Amino acid sequence: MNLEATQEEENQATLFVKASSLLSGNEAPEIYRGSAPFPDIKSLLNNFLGNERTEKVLDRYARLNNIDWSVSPTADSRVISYAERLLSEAIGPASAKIMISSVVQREELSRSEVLGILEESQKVLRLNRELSTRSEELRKATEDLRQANYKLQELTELKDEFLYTVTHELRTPLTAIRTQSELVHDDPEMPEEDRQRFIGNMVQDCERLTRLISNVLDLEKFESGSQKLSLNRVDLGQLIEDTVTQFQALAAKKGHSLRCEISAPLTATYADEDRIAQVLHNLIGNALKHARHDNGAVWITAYRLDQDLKVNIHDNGNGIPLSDRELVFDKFYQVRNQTRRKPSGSGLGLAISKNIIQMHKGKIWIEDNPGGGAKISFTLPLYLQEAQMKNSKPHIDA
Amino acid sequence: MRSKILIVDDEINILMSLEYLFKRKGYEVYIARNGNEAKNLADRYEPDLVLLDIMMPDVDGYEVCDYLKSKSTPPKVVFLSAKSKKDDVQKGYGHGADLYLLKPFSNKDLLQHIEELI
Repeated sequence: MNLEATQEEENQATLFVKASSLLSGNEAPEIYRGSAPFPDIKSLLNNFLGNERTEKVLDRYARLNNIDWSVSPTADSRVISYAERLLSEAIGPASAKIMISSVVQREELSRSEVLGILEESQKVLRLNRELSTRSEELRKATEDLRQANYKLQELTELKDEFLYTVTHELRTPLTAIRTQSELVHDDPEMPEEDRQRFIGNMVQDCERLTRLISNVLDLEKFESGSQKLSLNRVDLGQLIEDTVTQFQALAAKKGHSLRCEISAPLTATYADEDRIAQVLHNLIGNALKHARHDNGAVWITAYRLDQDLKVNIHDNGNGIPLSDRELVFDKFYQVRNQTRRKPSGSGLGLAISKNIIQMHKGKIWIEDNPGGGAKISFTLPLYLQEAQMKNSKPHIDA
Repeated sequence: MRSKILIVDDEINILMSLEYLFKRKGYEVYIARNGNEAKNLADRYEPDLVLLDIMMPDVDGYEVCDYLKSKSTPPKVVFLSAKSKKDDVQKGYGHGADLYLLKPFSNKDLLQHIEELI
């Protein structure tokens, strides 16, 4: 049954009901004055209540009212009202009224009954509309829940993947430490030179483990938003020069050249000096790692660009494939289904750097470098107010 | 005749300590830091057993394992890997490895496994 009414029909019904109730006042419900063939009434009840129940209720009614249906083939008004009440429970009062009317002889519906039916229909229509609104809301809520659930599943998978990556990264230095410590422990006749070598290596591996663990904890703090910045005026040019100086010894050991070109004084309004130094360490360290083995070169350029300070770190290595340019900042990038790439650091440096730069309202990306080699750039806004950064949280990719 | 072992790992500290361990136990030891080097050394020295890392630049451990197992007299292959998922282990055996050992392992266990294999 289609219960949908047009807006026009509904408005008309409303007006009709209102007008009629004003004209007639509250009329008492009328009872049927006519009669109906008993088999017709019984057949109606059979249709909607089922044979068994019909037999039962009619028997009961007959017993209570001393009626013998076989000798009273006509149902009087009381029987009709009783039947209508039974039908109302099954199919609603309006429908019951119509069904009964169809079998009652010489009986017409009173105006108030028609109005009652209209009112009921209107209610049903309204309920129907409300129901369809509700079910639309429910459908939307279900869809939202489904989406949220999907996101949660995805996050869980990413977390699992991260955990897998981290344990994988822990296992490598741990293996070296275990093997070497057992060698030293189990071999009292080990030559002193070898002993020193293994112990020195173990110290290195322990440092690597420590770095990895503190990087994981750092990243967790950034992503959960619990990492706060300690803001001061920072001379970025000086900071770059200091960092480059710290790396000169490593560059010389590798035979790489390392230089920087800084144009004019570069003073950011506010920045967390230690965190920006951490970014520079990560980027310069990476560049030295990936520069060419022979005649490796790393150079840093920094200058003002509109309302930003821009820093570029170049190396002359193999560069970063176009397809990986977004991925390299992803903390899950390193190990996901890969067997050919093993990070020599924690593998989290770029993910951490991205978080730090974004907390400063800056940007970090891999720049096109037609000359070959990799070029990583980042910007820091020049005129950032302290208040603007207080509530800044890094963007979380996961 | 001494058994020949080829150790393949791009982690220099692991490589050096395993080399020391097996030399002290009297094996003839060769070491490779990447997959290509491993293939060359395997062709030249015909090792009885290869200890093989999986994650290496350029040519990974799976590819080296396939290569080794396709030889006319294939060596035993033991994967030594930090890849800890069940899928990783199954994949290792799928490439024909004789054993998959998860890093970190104890030297004693490793030696015992190797002795059983050759």
